[in-house]
Parts: sequence; C-alpha cells; structure tokens
Amino acid sequence: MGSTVVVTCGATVPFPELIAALLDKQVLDTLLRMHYTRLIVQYGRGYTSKFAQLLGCVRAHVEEPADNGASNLAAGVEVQVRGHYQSLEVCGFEFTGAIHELLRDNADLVISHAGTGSIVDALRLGKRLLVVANTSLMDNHQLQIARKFESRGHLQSAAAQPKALIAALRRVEAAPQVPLPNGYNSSFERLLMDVAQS
Amino acid sequence: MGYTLCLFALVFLQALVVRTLWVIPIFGIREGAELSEKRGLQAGRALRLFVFLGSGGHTGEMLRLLDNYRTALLRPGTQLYVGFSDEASLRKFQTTVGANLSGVEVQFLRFSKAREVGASWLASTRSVAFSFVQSLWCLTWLKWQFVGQQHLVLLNGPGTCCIIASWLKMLEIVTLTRSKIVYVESLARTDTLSLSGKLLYPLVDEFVVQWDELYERYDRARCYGILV
Repeated sequence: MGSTVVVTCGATVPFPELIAALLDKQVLDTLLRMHYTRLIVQYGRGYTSKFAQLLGCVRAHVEEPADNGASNLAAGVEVQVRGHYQSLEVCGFEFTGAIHELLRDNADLVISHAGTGSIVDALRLGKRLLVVANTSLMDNHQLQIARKFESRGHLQSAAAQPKALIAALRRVEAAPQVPLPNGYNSSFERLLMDVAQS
Repeated sequence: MGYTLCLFALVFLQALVVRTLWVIPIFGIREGAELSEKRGLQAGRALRLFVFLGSGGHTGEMLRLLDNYRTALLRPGTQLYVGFSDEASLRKFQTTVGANLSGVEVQFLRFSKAREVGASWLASTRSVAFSFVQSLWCLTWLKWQFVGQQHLVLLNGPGTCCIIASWLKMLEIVTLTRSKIVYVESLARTDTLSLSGKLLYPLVDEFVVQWDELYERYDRARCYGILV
C-alpha cells in the first residue's frame, strides 16, 4: 500500500489557486518521486469541471466515475472525478462532511488552506502538514497563522505556486515535524472553575 | 421636599458609579479570580453553563473548547445553554459535542441575526431593533436561571457576544450578582485582537488569548497556549 496525500481547500470558501498549483506537471512529478501513489482532493463546490479540465491539461487519464460504490473512498466519500497521472491515482470531490475521518484513515500528508480549524485538525491527528495561505480572502489572517505555526515547526507553508509547493514538499521530507500538544491545560481548567465558583 | 429628593438621587447616582467601577474589571478594584487551591472542585454542585456559537470558525473553536474541557464543563448534572444564530452552527453542535453527552441537559437559545445580507435600509433597521430586544430578553431570562446557581459564561469572537457581554454586565450592576464571563480570543488572532476582543477586553471577567504575543501586549490577558 502506497502513501496518500489529502488536499483540502476548506469547506466554506473556494481556493482555485491551490488546485491549479497542485495539478502542475512538476508538482505531480515531485509527488511521484516522493513515492506517493494516491492524491485525494476536496476541491470545493462548483469546481468539478475545472478540476477535470486541469487533470486533462497534464495529460492524466481521466475516467468516468462509476455509478456503483466502487469509486467511493473508505470514509464514505463519493469520488466525482478520478484520473491517473502515471502511477499516481487522483481522486477529486466537491465537499465532504467526513473530512476528519478521511484525514484520519487515509492521509500520510495533508495539504490544506491555512484556516485554524484545518490546521489544528490535521496536527492533532498527527499528520504531516503543508499549508497554503489563501491570501485572496479579506481579514482572515491565514498568512500570519501559517507563519506562526511554521515558526514553531508544526508545519511547512508555501505560496499557491508550483515552485513554492515543490520547495515546501522537499522541506516536509527533510525536516521532522514538531507535534502539537493537545488543547487540555489544567491551569485553564482551574481558571474556569474558579470563575464559576467565585 | 425637593432638596431631599435631590439628595436621594445624588446618593443613588454615586452608588451606581461606585458599583460600575467595582464591576468593570479594567478598573482593577475588585480582585480577579485567584488561581488558588483554596476553593477546589465543588463536586456536589451542578454547573449552569452558557456558550454562544457564532458561525464557521468561531463555532468550530467553541466546540473544540467544550470537547477539550468536557470533564470540567460537561460533567453529568450540568445544565448547558447553547446560544446560536445560524442553523449550520446548531447542526455542527448536534453532530459533534451534542451527540456525545451523558447526564447533561441542553437548552437552545436562538438569537436572531442582526441583519440579513441584502436587506433594505428600513428592513435592516427594523430587524436590528428586533434582534436587539429579543437578545436582551433572552439574556435576562438566562440571568434569572443563573441566580443562586454555580454558573459560567463562555464566549469567543462573534459580534453578538458584544451584546451578550454588555447586557450581562449591565444586569450585574443592577442586580448585585456576578456575570462570570470568560472570553477566549480566536486562535486566528496572532498579534492583534479582533474587534469583539477589543470591545470586550475591559469588560469581561477573564480575558484569555492563545498566542504569547497578545499575552505580552495586554496586561489583563491570560495565556495557556492553544486551547482549541
């Protein structure tokens, strides 16, 4: 069984720049060199045809999705676009409510937008993480968040460009990742109880 | 007669000012909650807890917080009041934390949204006024539930929290009780406070941030690292 990369753009806002950078020939070649065999992508609502088109651009073999359950991933996620780029299987779908299970059961590496929810989710599951800040969003601080976590060694961050992604993938491979401690802190718990009992 | 009335009003006004200064934490008159062992866990007494779910990221963080501190906050016997203003947040609560509760009674409080996107000026004014009155009514009822009970209010960044915290403080001033509001700033705020955070910083009983940089900048802030 080979390794799997799971890519997620976030549930609420589309991030086409990340998908475009990801489905670049050199990026896919890099993933192949790193011995990944499967690429699972949550590309966001309304981007199915765009995703299939980008796959076609890199001369990947795109299959018609099967009607039976055969095209579904382990976590009950229905694949909408499936293709092969050499030995790399590419599975794409718009959105799933079971992203947590998908990451937990399938991901060896997670590539995600830099939302705090996605970051904390992936790190608490102990996954290797590469984030790409969605800088087109107003006032959501993804760049600062990405830098903050990166400076603590929890993840690698990159801009939404093929070259930056490749460099960050190499850093992921080279450097060990600092695990994120769980959110429980006994002093904070005591503060809550002290206030409640004050 | 007029003179006595005047004197009376003056004394009352003075008492109100003193009470306000006493209650608003930024003036630093009343001692904050001490992190001491002396109180310990009063295991026998049930907690009444109010949380507000805003939308998207704020809801996600609040649900994680509840989950991480469930042994303290969601003990059997706890009465949980969940304030919400959008259906997606309510569903998310029900499929995550809400699906995994034992011995905790949950009551939902709907706060109407201040304004729908694209509403006309007149409709907006009306809906803002309506939502304001409705929120105040809801909170006054909540305050009544808290009287004489061990309770806690847990808030993070959504805009409605400003109304919630202000009104609870207002009620604290006039009813001589404690508001017990703990505010946890969003993890997304790394080096500046959110607008809600800035507004509530002087007001809430405990102000918690999740990054050291904010902790160093704000005297009242407490920091325990990433809590969500």
